[in-house]
Amino acid sequence: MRSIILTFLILLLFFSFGCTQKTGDSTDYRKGTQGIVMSFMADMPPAKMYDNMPIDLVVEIKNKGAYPQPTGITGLAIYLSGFDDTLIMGMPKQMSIPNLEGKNPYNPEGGYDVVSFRGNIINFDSRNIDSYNANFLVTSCYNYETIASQTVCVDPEPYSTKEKTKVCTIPPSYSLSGGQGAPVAVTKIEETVLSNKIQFKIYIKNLGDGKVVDKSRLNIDCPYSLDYTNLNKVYVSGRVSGYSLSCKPANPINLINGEGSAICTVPKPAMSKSAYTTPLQVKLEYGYSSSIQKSVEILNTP
Amino acid sequence: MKPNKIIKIILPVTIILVLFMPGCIQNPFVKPTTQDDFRTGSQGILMEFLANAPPGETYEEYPFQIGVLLQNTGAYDIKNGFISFTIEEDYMELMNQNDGVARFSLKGKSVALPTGDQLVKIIKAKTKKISEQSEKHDSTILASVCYQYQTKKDITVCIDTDIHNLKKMQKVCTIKDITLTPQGAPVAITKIESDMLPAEDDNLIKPAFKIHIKNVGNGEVIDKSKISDVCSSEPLEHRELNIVDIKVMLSNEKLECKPEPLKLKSNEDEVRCILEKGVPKDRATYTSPLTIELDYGYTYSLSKKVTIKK
Repeated sequence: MRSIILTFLILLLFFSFGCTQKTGDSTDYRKGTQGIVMSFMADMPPAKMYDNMPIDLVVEIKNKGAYPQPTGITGLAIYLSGFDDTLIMGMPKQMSIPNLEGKNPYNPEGGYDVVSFRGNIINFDSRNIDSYNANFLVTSCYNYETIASQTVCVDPEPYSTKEKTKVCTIPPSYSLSGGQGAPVAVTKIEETVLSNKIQFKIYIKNLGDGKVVDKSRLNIDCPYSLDYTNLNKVYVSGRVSGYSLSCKPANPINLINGEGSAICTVPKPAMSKSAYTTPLQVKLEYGYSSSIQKSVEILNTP
Repeated sequence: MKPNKIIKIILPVTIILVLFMPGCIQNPFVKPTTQDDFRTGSQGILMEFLANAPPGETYEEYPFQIGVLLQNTGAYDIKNGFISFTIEEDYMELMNQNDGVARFSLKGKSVALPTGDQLVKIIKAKTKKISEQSEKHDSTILASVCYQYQTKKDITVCIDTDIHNLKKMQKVCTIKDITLTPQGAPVAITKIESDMLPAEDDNLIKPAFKIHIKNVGNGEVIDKSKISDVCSSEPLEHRELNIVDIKVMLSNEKLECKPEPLKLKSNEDEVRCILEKGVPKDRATYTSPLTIELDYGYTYSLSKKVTIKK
């Protein structure tokens, strides 16, 4: 009796794997509010160190967003600052990471890289120093893109009194929650049908923990010369029904307190056409910068 | 539950606990000790008379000993200190006239010598005859130490290259006033105020620091070049009192300090130091060590009354 039950349980265990739904393919990689995410590798460097020895600062870099797809290039640069470079010598101040692909169907976790900054702590006796609290600020500067897709209802005659069966009606707004696999997201779209065009008001928000930088100034000003003239600029473009969106205000859009909006229009289809659904694709282009910081207490060797 | 079953459960749980517990407890041996850990307290030399040397009471024409214990409770090594004994020559005399002033060296607290070094100085003296009309006479013995000392403090300060927050880059630190406790020396740095001043060159800022200094010991600050005079009863001019030499470095750059040397008023004062060379504004805000060294002479006296009986 026992052996029958045992055999039955083993068989059940084997076959139950076949019943589990495979979710890997259906993962929406254009979800989330992160782009490039950096973190210090544990104990690299440790919180306390001694002078007259090498120091390694190791940073893990993950692309948790959906840009770029395997063919793209981010132009990601990592900058190191915050410490006295006459005490910690030889540490590179900048590193470029050529290509770190975003999440995609073939790499649902996104790209991963590790960069190491190696320097040497001088002998503190030569400077008569007992201890020094070094702060390491690692700042990333990179280009990024958000692609937001929303199925919209195109109805040339939404206010018509004629009795017609419509496949869709225009809602007050389309809400896009959870981000689109990038730190800047389209959060809401409002559609209005005007006399000769269809207008989409696109709401944009910085949902990440960094700063939005004008992509045209990224390589010039980021990170040391960022100010109000080169921050919070987003370039908006998009397509619907084969038309390119014509947006106002002119690019770049300025984000205020991390939020902004653009009013984009496309020509209205012929009146004779009935309502139909179609994807609206909005592309946001921007530079982005975020920072992580670590303190290390360096002591004079007793 | 049977006892052997309980053992079977408790034993693995105990083993797991023993294995994982050490990870939760901070290892007390990990904390390293540096010279900075010994820069505490507000004294340099501590001096006290040895018990019954000199005695509280003695008789005329009677030999006795004067002994003092010196301990360097600060964090600086004294290389050429002086100890002097002053007696009422009408009632006492030193057996060896050269014992009046003696040199000494005494190491301060350090990793190798955590308590600081100490020495005992004993000299022989003898009472003289007191007047015929007196049954007894109270005489005072004075012991004084004079030594060169140094107060040192290095502290990490913030060099903010964007004082008006025009740049929108994250800063690793912000400028703030730093209040300090005494640094294992009788003269202490009590407060450091930081400021980033504009420079003539618009691309630079000048880090500036107001450093508050105070005599927190129980003696007097003197010019470090006059310590032998003080302990040898040479006259000391007013301008040689309360003089502190100052050296301030920001990383490897020497700051210009005013006034230099500093003359303490009412045992405390402040000095302003500035990095005239400036720091480029296009550099990110960073931390840097500010090293302050105060050099001075110090003197401290102790007295004891001796009753000389007939």
